[in-house]
Amino acid sequence: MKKIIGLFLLSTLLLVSSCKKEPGEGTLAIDFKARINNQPLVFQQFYVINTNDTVEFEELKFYMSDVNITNKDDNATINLSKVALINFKEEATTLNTLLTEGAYKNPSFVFGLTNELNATVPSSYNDTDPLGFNANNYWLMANSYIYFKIEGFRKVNGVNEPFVYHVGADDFNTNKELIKAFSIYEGNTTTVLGLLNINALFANIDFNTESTTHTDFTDPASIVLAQKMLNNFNNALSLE
Amino acid sequence: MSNLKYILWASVLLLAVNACKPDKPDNEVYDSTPYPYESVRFFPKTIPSPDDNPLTQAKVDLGRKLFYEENISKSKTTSCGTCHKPEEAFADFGNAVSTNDLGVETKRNASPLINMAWASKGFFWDGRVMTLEDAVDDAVTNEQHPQWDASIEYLSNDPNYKLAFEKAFENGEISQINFDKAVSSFIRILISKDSKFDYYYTQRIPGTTLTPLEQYGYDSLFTTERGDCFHCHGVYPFMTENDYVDNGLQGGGYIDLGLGGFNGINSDEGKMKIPPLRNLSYTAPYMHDGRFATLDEVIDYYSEGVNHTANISPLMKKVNQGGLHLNTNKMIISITGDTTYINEKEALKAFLLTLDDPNFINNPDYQSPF
Repeated sequence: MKKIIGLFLLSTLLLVSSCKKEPGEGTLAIDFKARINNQPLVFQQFYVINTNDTVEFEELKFYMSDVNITNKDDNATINLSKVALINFKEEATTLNTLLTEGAYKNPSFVFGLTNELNATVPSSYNDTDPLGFNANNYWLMANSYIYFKIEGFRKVNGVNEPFVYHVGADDFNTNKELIKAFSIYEGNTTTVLGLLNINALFANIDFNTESTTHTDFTDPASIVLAQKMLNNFNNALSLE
Repeated sequence: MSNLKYILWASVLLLAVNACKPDKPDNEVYDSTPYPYESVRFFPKTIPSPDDNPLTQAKVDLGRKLFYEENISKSKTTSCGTCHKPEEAFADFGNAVSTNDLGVETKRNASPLINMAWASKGFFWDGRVMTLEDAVDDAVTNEQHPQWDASIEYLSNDPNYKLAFEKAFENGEISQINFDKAVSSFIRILISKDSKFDYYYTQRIPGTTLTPLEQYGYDSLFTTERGDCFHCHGVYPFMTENDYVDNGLQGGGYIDLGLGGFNGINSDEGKMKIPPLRNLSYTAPYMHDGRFATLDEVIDYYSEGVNHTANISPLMKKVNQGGLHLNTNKMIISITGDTTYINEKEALKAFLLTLDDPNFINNPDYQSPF
C-alpha cells in the first residue's frame, strides 16, 4: 500500500512539474527623443538656441551598434541588436526587443558603428537593413558609413545658411551605458528613454567657423570638428 | 454487413485523401521559373519585387512585349517605348518634355528607366507612387490613354498574348493588373552596370583606370568644396540617393511644386527626385523640366547659377554666392615640377561620361521584340 501511495505522489509531482508555466515574454523598448529648449524637436521649425543662434533641422539620425543588456540574475550579456539606425525625422526612434520576463540591468551600446560593421558595404545587406542601400549612409569614396548626420539651417541676417555635420570613420565611435536595473513582465513593454539634448549638442559650437564637417582626412580642421561633434553628441545623449 | 462496413471505411479514407490533395491548377502552362539574376560586385544581391508579383522569366518576357506594344494605346501608335527608348537609356533624348498619345505635352521630362528595381523611395519626379506597378499604371493610363476594355479585348484575341499571360500568371488572366505586373517586371531587369566607371571602381575588368582628367573629375565630384555632387549622387551603384531635394532650380518661385504638390507639405515644395548620373550622354535634356540641353549647362548651373529657394537643400554649397564657382584654370604642379592647368568643369564632365554604359543601351534583351 505504501508503495502505491508513493508511486501516486511521485506521479502527481511529475504531472505538476510538467505543467509548470514557461516564463513569458515582454518587450524592451529603447526609445529616443530629441529635445530643444526643453521641448520636443519639430523639424523645419526655427528655434533660438544658446542665446542667439536661430536654427532649424532637416536631418538628424545616428547609428547604434552592439546593443546589449545584462541579465541581473546571472550577469550574462544579451545582445539585443547588432545595429540600429535611429532616424528622428522619419520617427524611427525606437528599438523594440522581445525578452524573457525577468530582471535586467545596464543597457549599453556603441554610439556609431563598430569597426567590424564599418568594414562592410551596403550590397552585403538587404535594401531595408539599417546598413543597406536605402539608409543612404555610405561614403563611396571614403569606404565608410556615416555614423551620424545633422543637417539644417541657421538664420544669418535673414538668410538661411546651411550647417552639415556628417561624421563617420573607423574609431569615430564611443560606448554608452546606463547604470539602471529594470524588469520585463510578460505581455508588457518596459521603456528605456534616450534623450538627445540639442542645446547641449551645439553648446560649444561657433556656427560661423564650425558649420560643416564630412570627416575629411585631407582637412585637419574637418577631423577636429568631427571629433568635437562626436564628443558633443555623446555628451548630449543620455539614457533614463 | 462486414463488407459494407469495409466499403464505408474505404470511401471515407478516399474522400479524406482527396480532400488533402492540392487543387489542380487551373492553368497548366503557368511557369514560375524565377528570373535568373546574377549580381556583380557591389550591386544588390537580389532584385526586389512585391510578394504578389514575384519576378519570373515568363513575366519579364511578356512585360517586354507589352512595353513596346502600341495597340493598347488609344491611338494605337504609342507604347512605353515611345518615350522610354532603349537606345536613349529608356529616356526621351532631345525632348524637354514628351508628347503623349493624345498629342499633348507631358508635364515633366521623361525619366530614364535605369536600375529602377532599387528605387525604393517612390517614382516619378514628384514621388507620387510608391511601387513600380503603380508607376506603370499611372504612366500608361495618363500618357497612352488606353481604353482598357478594348485593349484587353485586343490582347485576348491574340493567341500569342493569351499563351504568354497564361505562362506568366497563375490565374492566366489578361487584365490591367496583370499588365502592370508584367511591364513592371520587365522594367525591374533594366540594369546598368557595365560603364567604364563600374569596371574601374569594382575592378571587374582588372587594370581599368581613369584618365587624369576623369580622375580629377571623380575627385571633384566626391569633394565637398569642389564639385560636391556626392551628397545626392554618391551612392554606388545607383549614383543617386533616390531621394527628393530642392536644388534651387526654381529661383523665381515654384512653378512646379514637385513632391510638395503631391503630399501637400509646404516644406517639400520644389523637391524633385534625384536622377541617376548614369548614361547621361543618352538622356539629355536634363532636370525635371528638361531646361538644360547639355551637361555643360548643368555644370554651369551648379557652379554659378544656383538660386536660394525657400526649401533648398542644406547640402547645396555657397547658395548665397550662386554655387561653388568651380576653378576653370586650376594650376597643378606634378611631383616632377611640370605645370598643367585643369578646367574643373571639363574634368567633371569627363568623369560623368565614364558612367555611360553602351552595353545597357544595346542589350538585346531590352530591345523591342517587334
